[in-house]
Amino acid sequence: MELRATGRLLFSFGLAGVAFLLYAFAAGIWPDSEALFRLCGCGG
Amino acid sequence: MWRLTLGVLVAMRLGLELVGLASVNLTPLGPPNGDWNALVGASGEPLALSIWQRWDALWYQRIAEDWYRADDGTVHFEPLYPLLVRATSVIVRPTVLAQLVVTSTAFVVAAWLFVELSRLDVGSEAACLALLLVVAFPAGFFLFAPYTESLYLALSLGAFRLARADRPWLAGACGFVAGCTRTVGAFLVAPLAYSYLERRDKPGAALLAALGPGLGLALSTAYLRLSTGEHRSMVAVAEPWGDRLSPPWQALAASWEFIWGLGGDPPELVNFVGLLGAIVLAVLVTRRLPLAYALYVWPYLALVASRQSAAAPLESVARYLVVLFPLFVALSGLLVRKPLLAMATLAVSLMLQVVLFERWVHFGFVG
Repeated sequence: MELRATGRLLFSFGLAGVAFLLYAFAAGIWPDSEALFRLCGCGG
Repeated sequence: MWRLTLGVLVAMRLGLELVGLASVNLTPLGPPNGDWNALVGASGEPLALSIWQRWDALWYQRIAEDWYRADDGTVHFEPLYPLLVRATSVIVRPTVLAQLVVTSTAFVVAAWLFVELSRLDVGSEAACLALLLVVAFPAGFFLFAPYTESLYLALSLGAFRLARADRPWLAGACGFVAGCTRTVGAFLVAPLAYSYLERRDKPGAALLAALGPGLGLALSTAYLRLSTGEHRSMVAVAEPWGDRLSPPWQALAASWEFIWGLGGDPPELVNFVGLLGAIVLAVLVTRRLPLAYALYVWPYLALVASRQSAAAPLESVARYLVVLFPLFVALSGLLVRKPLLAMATLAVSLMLQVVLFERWVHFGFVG
């Protein structure tokens, strides 16, 4: 894949990452990381 | 094209109604399940309407009537669909009829956009076949049930179509409302950004419009939590549903054991085969359709395949796949030159749909 296309891909997923951080903050997932660990099956 | 979309709507509405009514007349209903059972037929809804009052449809009915509250799980559901139902129910009563009006209207728009968008990639004939494939899909009846499937499909297709027409701000706005409809709307960010970037050498401010779906999801979630005073995180709110994350192979293995442990469970079997088929079709999407579709399909599938539910490991997967339209476009590309195989696929799919719908009408959990 050409370099420019790879850059577009990385940038697009980077923007999606920003969107998920926004959501995680709005959804209160960050302060409640214990619930997130439980969801992943690695916490009490 | 309107004739096709309206024809499909009328045929499916009549067909599902007849199946549902025949089903409850032949086999009486057992005690209802779900959290809002008291809502079934509570406003004197005739049987023709009350057969649609099942599971999530009752959550949306409850939200449309009494809006959101903290601590009762309602904030688990995104607000756009119940908001539209609430507005429609000012003139259309009872609420379940307003739900069906919103769903049907959204379906017509979704079906029109589906054909309009997919014919750009596979031609008109295959685009029409793709529409029939999604409608006949075993979980396709959710496009006509009081759920968010049709509305979300219409909005996600609209976002893709506008991005294709190089209207980034409008595509972002459409994605914004999609994000207010379903959590998975956030998966539209990467494809919208990629569609914008591949049309330009130097990105401008309109690139930020691709954040629209994520903003829609984040703002609607923040609104629900702040306006109701729901102090728990959305992960904690979702805990009663019993979902957990695990690697896809573990979810598939657990599903396989679950199916054969019960001697064959039709909904879970459809979920299992549907997920495997979706992964195969996603490879086709990546190879044959614009890359923006792959950027939408793969993260969506990764989430769906990584989520294990308490009741059945791949619970609801088939319903989640209904809105993943590029899969059906890729499948139609395979089948369009093989009319017999296409007819057989549609016939088997529709038969499975009748089985699952009959089960759903009897308060069996299908998705």
